[in-house]
Amino acid sequence: MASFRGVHRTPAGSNLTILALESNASVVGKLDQLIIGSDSTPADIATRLDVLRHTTAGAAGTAVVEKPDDPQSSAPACNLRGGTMTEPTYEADFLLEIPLNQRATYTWNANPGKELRTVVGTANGLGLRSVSSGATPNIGATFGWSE
Amino acid sequence: MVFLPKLLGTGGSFRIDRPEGPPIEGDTMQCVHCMKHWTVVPGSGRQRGWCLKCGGPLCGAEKCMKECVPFEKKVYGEAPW
Repeated sequence: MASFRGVHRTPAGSNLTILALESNASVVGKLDQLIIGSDSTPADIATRLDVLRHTTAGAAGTAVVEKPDDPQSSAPACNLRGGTMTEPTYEADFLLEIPLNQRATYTWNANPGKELRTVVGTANGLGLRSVSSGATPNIGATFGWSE
Repeated sequence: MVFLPKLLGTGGSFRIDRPEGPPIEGDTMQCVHCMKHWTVVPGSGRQRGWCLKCGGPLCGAEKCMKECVPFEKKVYGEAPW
């Protein structure tokens, strides 16, 4: 099992995906770390961020570089897509909700075996989405996952 | 549910670094049916559940409470979400 990391920044807003981990036809991605912060000028801006499962992958956006934790590791099977993009089709229920002040940095680590997993299939994946925001600060997100 | 995180292990942990005051740290637990994580708030009064088949916590959503379908089955396409 290899682990990888990817980083992307994009402005918050209403229902805008920051970063999405897209599954492979046969490989499941296991999201085990999430770091969220902002590099915008500090201000008291509240943003609601959800981690949701998607059933149709996003389109366009930014291809995010996926870095293996071990430089000797092979390339990842899953794909990372950064916003702003044509939004994926998300499920209604979120897997993790993070209401966050722009001044704060949020780090979440899953315990072994408790990661958020993608469903097999290239249309499926997990997205970090800015559901609502008081303004449009840059949101920087780091995904750490294994597969 | 107050002591369960310590007895059974949590689903994860979080830390919020903020400019004013010390960091806030806490645990999250994971639903064994839908994979959702939530912040553990002892004494919150929120009704959750426990699956006797899976031996793990439930988030409290109706679909998770009504039927036992472990998320491993859903992830690998053996059961619908």
